Amino acid sequence: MIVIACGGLIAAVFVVLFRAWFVRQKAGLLADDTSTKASLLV
Amino acid sequence: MTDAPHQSREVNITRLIDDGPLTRFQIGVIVCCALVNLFDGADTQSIGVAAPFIADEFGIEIANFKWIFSSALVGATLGAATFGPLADRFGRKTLLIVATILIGIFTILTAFATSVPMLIAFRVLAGLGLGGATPCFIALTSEYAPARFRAALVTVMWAAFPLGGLTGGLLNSYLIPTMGWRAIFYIGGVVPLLIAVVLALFLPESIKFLLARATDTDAVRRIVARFRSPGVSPDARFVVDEEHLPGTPVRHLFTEGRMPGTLLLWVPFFMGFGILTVVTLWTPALLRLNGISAANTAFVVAFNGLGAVVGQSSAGRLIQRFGILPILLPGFLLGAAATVGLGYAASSVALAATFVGLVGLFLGFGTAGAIALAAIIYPTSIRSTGVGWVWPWAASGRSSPHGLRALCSARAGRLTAS
Repeated sequence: MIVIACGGLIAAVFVVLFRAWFVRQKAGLLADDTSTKASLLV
Repeated sequence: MTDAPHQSREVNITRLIDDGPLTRFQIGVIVCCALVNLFDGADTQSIGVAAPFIADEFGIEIANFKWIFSSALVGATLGAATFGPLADRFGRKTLLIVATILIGIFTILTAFATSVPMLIAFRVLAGLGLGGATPCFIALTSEYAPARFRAALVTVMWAAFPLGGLTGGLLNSYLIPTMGWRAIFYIGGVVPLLIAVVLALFLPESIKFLLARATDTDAVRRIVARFRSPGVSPDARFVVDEEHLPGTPVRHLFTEGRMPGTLLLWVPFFMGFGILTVVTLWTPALLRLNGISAANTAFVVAFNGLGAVVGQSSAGRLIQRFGILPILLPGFLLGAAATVGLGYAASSVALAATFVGLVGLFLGFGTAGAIALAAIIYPTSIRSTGVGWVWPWAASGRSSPHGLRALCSARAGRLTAS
């Protein structure tokens, strides 16, 4: 079960990386003032 | 002239949906999607419940069922990966109806199977529909939901899957002893066919999809009149705040800076679904090894489904209120901690039920939250493709327990030999 649980830790690391990408992408879109990806703005 | 959402010559559909209230029409669309998802969940678990009875009738070992179990998973993976891009090209409604008809026909045919190869073929083809429906109903829900409720509504709709598994399990435990294993597949096949008729009659095509493809302005006008404003000006022009992305939808998952997000999202899917499947498959064996009765084992496993329903239905709402990190991060970390706890609590029914429920709850947050993100980060032109292409990773995660078991067996074999 400890080996299986490591999967949860790996997923958590990737969630942090995803969040970093998401914030950067959102900031880039706001700076560009483009409306083509308005769906990102949640 | 895009300020007023309607009555003016230019109607901005993005703002009409995002800024307006959630109407009965939109709730109807989401209920239709949840209905398909509910039967998706019920159908997916039906072969597992029927397996011992099919094995008895066919005179085969239950261990040989791994190919039959895997066949539906292979079909679902292929279905999600192919129906997603097709739904971005031909429409969510059309492909959702095709997928639902496939589920119905091949689930009924499963009841007529007389050999293992026939059973495998029918489960692959039913799986094609089961997996293919997923990107269609997630995209439709996402595209009719106002932005402020989008993640919440996608995950509430997604929670219909474990709910279908739970209710289907209860129904099957009544059907099999009274009517035999074939009854599961007769009923499980006829109901999706009836749902397909309801979808054809009442479900609208995604209005954002129609505008992104610029295919049928009359259809857009009819849908707008149904869900918001009967007084739309006859010369109104409809627009959305998104551009159509030309060419192959799959390619766009990796362009315009989307590649890191696409790749980073696939890993939590693999891990989340992998752990949930390991816990569901291995908990009964773990509990039996610790001397817990079969009846109590079924009771404990039911808590996993219950936790998953609660976690998945609330994940989106919590993400919209608190953000991605405060929900998904504890979801995966506490899910991992609860998995370790389960390993040490398997001798007590109460403790095991608690930890199994917590695994379902926390990983429910994680997996449903990841699904909501997949529906949100991609624009309309590639939304179905984006959601469909996370599915092979979820399916690989669900297959990983078999690989892990083989690895453990091989290692145990080597240790015994030495």
